[in-house]
Amino acid sequence: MPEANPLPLRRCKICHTIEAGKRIFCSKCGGDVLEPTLVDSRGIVTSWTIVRRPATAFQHLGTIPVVMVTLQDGTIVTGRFQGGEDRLQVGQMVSLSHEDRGVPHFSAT
Amino acid sequence: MRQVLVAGIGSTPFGRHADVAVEALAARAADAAIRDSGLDKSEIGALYLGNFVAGPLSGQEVLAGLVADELGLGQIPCSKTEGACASGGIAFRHAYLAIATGQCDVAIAVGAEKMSHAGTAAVTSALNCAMDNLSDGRSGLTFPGFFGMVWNAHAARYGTTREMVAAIVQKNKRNGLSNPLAQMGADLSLEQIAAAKPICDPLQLYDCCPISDGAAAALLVAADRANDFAGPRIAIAASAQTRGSPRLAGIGNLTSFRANVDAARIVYEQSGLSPSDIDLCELHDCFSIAEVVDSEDLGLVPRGKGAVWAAEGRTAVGGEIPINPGGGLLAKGHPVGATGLGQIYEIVTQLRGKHPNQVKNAGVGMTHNLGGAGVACTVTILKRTDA
Repeated sequence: MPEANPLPLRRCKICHTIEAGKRIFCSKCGGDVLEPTLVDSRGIVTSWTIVRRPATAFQHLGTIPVVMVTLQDGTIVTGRFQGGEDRLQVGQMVSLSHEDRGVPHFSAT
Repeated sequence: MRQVLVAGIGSTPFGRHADVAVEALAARAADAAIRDSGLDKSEIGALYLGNFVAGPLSGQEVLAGLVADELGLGQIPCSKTEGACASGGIAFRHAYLAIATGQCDVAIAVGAEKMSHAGTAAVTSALNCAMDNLSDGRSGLTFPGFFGMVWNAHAARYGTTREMVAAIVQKNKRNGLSNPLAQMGADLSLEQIAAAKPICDPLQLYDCCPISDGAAAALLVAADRANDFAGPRIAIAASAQTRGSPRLAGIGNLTSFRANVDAARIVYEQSGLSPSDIDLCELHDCFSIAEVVDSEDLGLVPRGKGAVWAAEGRTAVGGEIPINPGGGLLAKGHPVGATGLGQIYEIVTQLRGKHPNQVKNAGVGMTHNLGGAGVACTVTILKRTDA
């Protein structure tokens, strides 16, 4: 299997927990130093939807396929799906295609 | 903790109230609750008001003080509570706690929202204030989208189908037809539900609650004042408020909400009751699939069977556990800050034996109000004291 694009997240300096969101403190130990890190972006789609009525700020996108991806280390990431809608299903293996303004875009592998 | 009774209830119809300000809706519902109790408003020692989006949609805050002033209440503490869609349930709980802990003998909880004057995209944006907009929100996810994800996760784990979930839409929409306060009751065929326009896969139009205006209120009183009002004795047997994760990354399993499960456990412990003691429940069906997950989390329906039980008629009025006999959010409407109090209104009316969709021999009722992506939850058990 080809190497996947790494996904930029943050890692707790104390307990090394990976954090997907913009947390201030580590969700596991409460540590206040979360350092940038790159993680393996391969994972599976835990759930998905296609937003067909976006909020005002996203209306220029039309429809938005959104995925909840569980990475191999268990970290859960919210992003968009790139590729055919027929491949959007729970259990689909994905990896990072690219990031756009901090939003990860995943595609099927 | 002192025992607390619900002495009075009031509500506007839920729906479209053009040219009526959100504070006016709240004042009308509160005034109705005070009149219903027969108590003098000068006895009210605290006011709590649930509201979520009056700031972004109406440019109006300090609603609690505005409403108290409109009602002519004393110089009492007036507070707004906010927990997204659970704002009304939180207001009710705070009024309950004020009396239970002896801060006052009489308190009023009000919930109000005004949304219909704004366009759908503006309302969607305002409601997205309840999302973690530094993580999930940046993807373009909306709340209909979030619950679309819940549906897909539930379907993958339990085999839940479009037809099963449509039974919930049919039930609640039909219940709404006979509720005079309901915004959007309807008699829908499964074909109509399945043919409706898509919103966020797999949610379609009738799976989503409408955009609503409205207000509801409850006047609470210490049980030792029970002889001071004439109405039936409806006691708050248990009240819980819990927190869940505000973002997908912390939820993990989308087929259950931690805040629901924890709140249910607490109210059963507080009351000494079990799910089989609950005669009916008004729960937070902001989307059809939410009723599936909520009914399972509350222990009213076996895990994985929320939609199956609806399809089998077991959650209908006259079924084993009637759920949302008032029409729920799907039919009655969802004026966000008012919803939790609207549920209290429905259950108290049932326990008084006065509901148009009366559940036979209703003695114990439950309300369940959920905010955001499960970040806030209130659950209440109300009980007729002679039940």
